[in-house]
Amino acid sequence: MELAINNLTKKYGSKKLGLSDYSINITSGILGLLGPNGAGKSTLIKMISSISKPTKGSISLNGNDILKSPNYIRKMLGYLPQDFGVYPNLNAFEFLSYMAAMKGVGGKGLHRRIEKLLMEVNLIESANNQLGTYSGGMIQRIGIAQALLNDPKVIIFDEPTVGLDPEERLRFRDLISDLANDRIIILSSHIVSDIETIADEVAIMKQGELIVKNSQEDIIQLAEGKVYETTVSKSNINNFKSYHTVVSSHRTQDNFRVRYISENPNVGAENVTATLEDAYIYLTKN
Amino acid sequence: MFQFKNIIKGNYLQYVRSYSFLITVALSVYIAFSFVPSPEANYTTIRLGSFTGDYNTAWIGFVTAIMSSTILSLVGFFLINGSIRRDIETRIGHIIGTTRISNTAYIITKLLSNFLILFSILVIVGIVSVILSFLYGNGQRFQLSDFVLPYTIITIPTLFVVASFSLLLEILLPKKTILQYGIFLVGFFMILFASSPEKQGLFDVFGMQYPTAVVSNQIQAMHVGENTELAIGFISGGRNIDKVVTVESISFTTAYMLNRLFWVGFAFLLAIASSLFFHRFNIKERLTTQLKPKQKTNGKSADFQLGNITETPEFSSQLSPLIGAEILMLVRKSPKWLWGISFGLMVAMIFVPITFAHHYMLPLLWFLQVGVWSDLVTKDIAFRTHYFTASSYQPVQRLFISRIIAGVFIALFIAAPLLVRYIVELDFHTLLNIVLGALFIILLSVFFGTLTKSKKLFEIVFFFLIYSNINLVSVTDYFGAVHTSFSYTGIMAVLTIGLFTGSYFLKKLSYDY
Repeated sequence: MELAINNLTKKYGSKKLGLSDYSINITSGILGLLGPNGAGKSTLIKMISSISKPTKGSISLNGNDILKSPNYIRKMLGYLPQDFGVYPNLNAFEFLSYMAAMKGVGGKGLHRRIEKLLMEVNLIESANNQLGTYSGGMIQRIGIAQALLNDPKVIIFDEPTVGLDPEERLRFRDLISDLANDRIIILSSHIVSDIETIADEVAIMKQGELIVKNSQEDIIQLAEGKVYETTVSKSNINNFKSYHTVVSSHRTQDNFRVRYISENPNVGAENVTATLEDAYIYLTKN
Repeated sequence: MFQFKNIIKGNYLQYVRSYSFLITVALSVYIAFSFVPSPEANYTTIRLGSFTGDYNTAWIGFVTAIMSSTILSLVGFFLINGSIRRDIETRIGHIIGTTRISNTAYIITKLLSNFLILFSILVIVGIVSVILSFLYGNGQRFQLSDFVLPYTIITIPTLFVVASFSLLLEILLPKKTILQYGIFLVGFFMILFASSPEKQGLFDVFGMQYPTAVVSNQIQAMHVGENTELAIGFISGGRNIDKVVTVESISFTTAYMLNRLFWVGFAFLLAIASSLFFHRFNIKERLTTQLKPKQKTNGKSADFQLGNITETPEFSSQLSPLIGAEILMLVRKSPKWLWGISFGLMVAMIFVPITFAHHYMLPLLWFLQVGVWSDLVTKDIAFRTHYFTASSYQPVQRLFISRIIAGVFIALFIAAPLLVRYIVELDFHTLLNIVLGALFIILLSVFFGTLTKSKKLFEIVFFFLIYSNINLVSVTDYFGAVHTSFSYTGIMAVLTIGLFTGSYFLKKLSYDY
C-alpha cells in the first residue's frame, strides 16, 4: 500500500491558503498527524478521503490517481470524521446497513459482520434503539464501527478517542495497532499521547506546510538537549512564560515547576530527556 | 437598548447574508409581479363583484397592500419560522441561555428581527409595485402616499402578528415543525374567514374590511346596485374592460388606524406572553415527556477486538438497500398522528368524487409531507453526516438517485388510491399527469435543496403552490388537476427532465468531484 501526495495545494478564495505545496509518501503502518489548529490537517484529510479537490497537486493510491478516480479510494476507505452526526431515526443496525450500502458493501456475511462489530463496540444491547437516543460516547463508537464496516485498507481517524472512557481509549489504541499490518492508518489528534504510543511515523504540520515527517525517535532527537525543567516563583511565572516556550507547568506549594524549551537555559535549569510533545512544541512554536 | 439593537442587527444580518435571502428577494420580486397582473393577463388578484380597478396608484397600492397582508403572511411565515430552532441547532442557544438577557427581551428581539425580514420583503414588493404603476399606468398621476399609507396601515400590523404567532408556535411546539405548519395553516384560513368584509368585527387581522368597504362604496356610487363582493387570491379570468373603474385614494379613519394599532400591540403582548413559556434552551428537561430518554450504557467498556470478526465484506453496488433505508427515514420522519391523518385521507380518496380527490385531496396529502420532502437532500447538513455521504462510493450516481427514487415512491404511494381509480377508468393520460406531478414536486425539492443547501425555499414555494392549487390557479397546476391537454403533459415532462438534469449537475458540482 502506498499513498503518494505530491505538491498538494488548496486555496480558499484568492488569498487564504489551506495547504501549500504539500508532499508526503505514506506506506502501510500508522502515521500520526500532529499540528495546531489551522495547520491544515482537516484540509489534507478531506482531500485524501475524496471529499474535496486540491487546487493543485496530485494524490495517488497504489499508482492510481484518486483525483481522477475517487471511487478507487472510496471502496477501500474507512473514515471517522472529527465532527460527525448520525440519522436519528435509524437504529444502530439500520444505520450500519445503510452505511454499508453507501460504501458499496453487501453480501450474505454483512448481517453477521454488523452484529459482531456492534458487539465489539459494545452497542449490541442498544442496537434496536434509534440513534437519536444515543449518548455522545455511543455515537463515537457507532462512528468507529462504520469506519471498519468495509474492512478498509486506508483508514483515517480524526480525533477518534473523543467520548471514549479511559479503558476504551487504551483498547482502541490496541485496535489501531492490530489493524496496521497491511493497511495505511492516518491518525490525526491533538492528544500527543494518543499518537506517541502507537504511531510508526509522525508528520507535524504548521500553517499548511509539512514541517517534518519521520519516526518518533528521529523527531524527538530534534528537541534533545533543548528541554529543561526549573522552578519559578508565582510572581515571576507570567514573565517567565513571555520569554520562554513553556511545554507544561505544575503548581507546587509556593512555586511552579516548569518544563520549557530553550537554546539558552536559565542558570540552575535541569536538562531533561525530550518527549514527542516537547519536540512538537519545539517545532510548532519556534 | 444598545444591546437590543445589536442582537436584532445580528439576527437580521445572519439571515440577509445567507444564500436563501437572495432567493427570497427573487421570489419577492416574482410575488410582487404576480400581485399586479398585466392588463392582458388571464387572471386577477382582487375583484369586487366583476369589477377591477384602473391601474392608477390608488388601485395598485390598495391591491398590493391587501395581497401583501394576506399572501405575504402565508409565505412569510415559512421564511421566519425556525428562528429559535436555528439557535437550538447551532447550539448558540446554550450560550444565550447563560447570558443576562431575559426571556422577554430575547423573544422581543426575535419578534423585531422576524418583522424586519418580512418588512424587507414588503419594501421589495413596494418598489416593484411602484415600477409596475409606471409600466401599466399609462402616464396617470403618481402619488407615493397611495403606497406608503396602505402598506403602513394595512400590511405592517399583519406582519407583526405573523412574526409573533410564529414565535408562539416555536415556543409551545419545539421540535414539532410539521404541527406548527398545520396549526398555522388552519389559523391562517380561520383568520382569512374572520377578516372577510361580510364579517364586520374586531378580528380583522389582515385589515381588509375597511379599505375594501371604501373601494366597494366608490364602485357602488358609480354603479348603483351592482354586486361588489370581494374575491381575493389568484382568480382565473382576465379583466372585463367594461367593468374597470377608477378608484380614488383611500382615506383611513382614526378608528381604523386604532384598530390596526391594536394588532401591533397584540403582537407584542402575544410575544411577551409566549416568553413566559420559553424553554430558554433547556429543552431536554422541559420536554421529558416528549423526548425519548437517552440510552444508558451497560457499564462495560467496548472491547474493540476485531480479530473475532472473520466475515469479509463483499462488494455490491445495489441501490435497493439505499432506497429501502431512505424510505424508512422518510416514513419515520413524519409523526404517527400525521400518518394517521394521511391514511384517513387516502381511504377517503377512494370514496369521494374523483375530481374532488384529484383537485383538493391529492395536493393536500402531498403537502402534509412538506417537512419530510424539504430535507430530502439537505438532511446531511442538518445531521452532520455530509462527510460520510461525500466519501461514499459513487455518491451522485447511487445515493442521490436513491433519495429521489425514495421520495417519488412515497409521493406515488400517497396518490395510490387515486391512481387505482384512474386505472379502473382507463384514464391513463391523467394517471401519467399525476406520476409526472409526483416526479415534479420531488425534483423541485431536490433542485431547491441542492441549490440553496436549505429547505426553506422549497417549503415557501410548496406553501405558495398548495394555496394556488386549492384555488385552482391553472399556472400552478403541476399534477394535471386543471389541465388535460397532451401539450401540458409534454411541458411537465420537459420541466421534470430539466429539474432532474439541473439537480444532478448541481449535486455533482457540490461534491467537488
